Amino acid sequence: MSAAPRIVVTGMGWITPLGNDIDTVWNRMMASDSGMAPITRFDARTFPTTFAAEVREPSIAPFVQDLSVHATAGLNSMFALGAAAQAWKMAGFAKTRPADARRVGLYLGAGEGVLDTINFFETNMASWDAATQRCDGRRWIEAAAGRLSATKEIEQEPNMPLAHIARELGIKGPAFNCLTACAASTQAIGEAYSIIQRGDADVMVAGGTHTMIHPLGVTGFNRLTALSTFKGDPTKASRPFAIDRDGFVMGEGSGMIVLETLEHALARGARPIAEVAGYGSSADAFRITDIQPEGRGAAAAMLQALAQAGIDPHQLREDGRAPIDYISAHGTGTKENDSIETVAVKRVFGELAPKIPMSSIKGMMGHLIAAAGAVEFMTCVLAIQRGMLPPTINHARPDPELDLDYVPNRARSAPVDICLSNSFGFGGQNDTVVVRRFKD
Amino acid sequence: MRRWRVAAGVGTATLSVVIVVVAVRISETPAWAIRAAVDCASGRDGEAESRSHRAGRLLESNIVSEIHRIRPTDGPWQLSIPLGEAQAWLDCRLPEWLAHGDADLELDLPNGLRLGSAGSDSGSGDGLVIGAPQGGVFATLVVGFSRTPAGWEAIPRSALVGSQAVPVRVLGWMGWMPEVVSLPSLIELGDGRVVEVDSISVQATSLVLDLRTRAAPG
Repeated sequence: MSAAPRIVVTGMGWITPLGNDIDTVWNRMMASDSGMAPITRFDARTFPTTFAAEVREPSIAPFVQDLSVHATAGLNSMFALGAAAQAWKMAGFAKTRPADARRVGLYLGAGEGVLDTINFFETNMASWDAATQRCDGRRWIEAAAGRLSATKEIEQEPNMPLAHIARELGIKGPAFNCLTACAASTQAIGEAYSIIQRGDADVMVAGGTHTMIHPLGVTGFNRLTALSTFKGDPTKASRPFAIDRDGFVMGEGSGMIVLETLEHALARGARPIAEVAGYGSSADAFRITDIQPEGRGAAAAMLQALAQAGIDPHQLREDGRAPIDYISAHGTGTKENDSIETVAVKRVFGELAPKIPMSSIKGMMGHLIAAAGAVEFMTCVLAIQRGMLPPTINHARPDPELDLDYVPNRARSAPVDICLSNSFGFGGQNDTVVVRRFKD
Repeated sequence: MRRWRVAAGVGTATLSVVIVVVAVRISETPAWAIRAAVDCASGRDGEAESRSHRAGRLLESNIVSEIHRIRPTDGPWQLSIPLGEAQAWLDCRLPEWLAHGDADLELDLPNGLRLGSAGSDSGSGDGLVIGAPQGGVFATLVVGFSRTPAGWEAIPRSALVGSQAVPVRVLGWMGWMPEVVSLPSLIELGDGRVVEVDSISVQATSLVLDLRTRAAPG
């Protein structure tokens, strides 16, 4: 049996609340900057949460060849197109397309698009029968026929970002989308890695895209008491691992990477920028709205990814360093997640856990929901490339129960060769990817 | 003859009064176990989290965090579990564990289980006082903890029914409480470390565990 092929990253791109290109976003993270501000997408002044991390001036114009092809694209698809085009270009495919488009695939963790909310509400109102105090089905159908938009109905399907990317980049190979809540795009990267490893594709574009900054999305997470309801400066609202953390801040955007076999990359003269070393996935099988309180599921995903990468979590490396150099935490800023993730990391690394820096970029960027994992994976790659760890901002008041190294408040210089990126989702979904510095 | 009849009548009346008093006291719930219905609102779906649910959840989080804390190897440490918070956990979090936790977690506990402290129990010594409605009366057990070579055992030392003014011994009668419950003395943390339970003691308002975290082998 031949050894599994090595899978490398050759391109990355993102559209985020901190900016729409690699360097701008990275530089803002290194400056502990925040993308949070009052919500502008709708009037949220009466909502318990009035702020979010929005992508500023979203546009696909700089990224696509023909705007008319994507005229109906929703925000999700616009973000995805922008991120994928950047990754495609970095990988060198914008100049020289892959030789066989059927050997190039897509695996996205894309969330549902924005619903045709206003027209839907107006349709409901038009069908209201005052006599019976109910919506009348016949009137609803009549009103819906005149109001609801067919293209918006199509564009809200989770697979539409994938369709737009495939159309734009000419990708014709395996095409998948998973929507495993906040773990979706980490899972997408892991599954894309597995697809290439088993030989079903040479190249995969993988990542995620999502926006839930709309009335139903904000209301839903408010009802789950998952969102911060901080009353002060929005830039201070997301406080991962701090004792006064009170929930996450909704973000939006997309992160996309290009993965391919090392052999394929070298054959076409591409420069690998990192290597995916392992992937793990697990389910908590616990209460749907709660994380397994001892972090067993999260630990299982981490252990699986580390085992695949050939890393013993209890063994120092030859140079005396911890088994890995950095953990990109899921770190939402909810009471439960941050506490349980800390326990889970201890369950995996034991006494070496305090030696491993772990930070959450959600304090700066907000929670990109399905897209969060991809953006955080890319942060790991950049940490390896640039030898810097992004900070956990707003860490003014540490929680005595949470006693690991959360890289508080300021970015830190450090030698980084191996990173682990965690993503956990509602329903008990846990996914972890290990990425390491590429070495010949 | 008449005097005998009077004596018999007085005796019967007295006995009847005693029987009634005993029956009333047996059917009474002890004062320490009486309380209002527990609100276990979990705080999801927009509702406010109830005080009991929050207390139980925070206790659980605190215990999990303390158990997994990275500590100097073999150094002793102590975990104090307030009985009021343990009661909140029993009321609100245990049902969630039973409904959603691992399939091998099966407990056949009675409804309305109550934890008492030494202060709420006359003559309980250093035992943990637990009680529950049982067959129309309120049954109370005083449970002690003993170290054995294999681990720890929880052993009912005495059992009472009713308001405890009438110490009717019912050990072995309460089907939900076995005569001995075996408890592990080692807790495996999953990373190779183990936490050893050195002692278990019941204080006025808390259960106190003396513990020691052992390093992973090798």
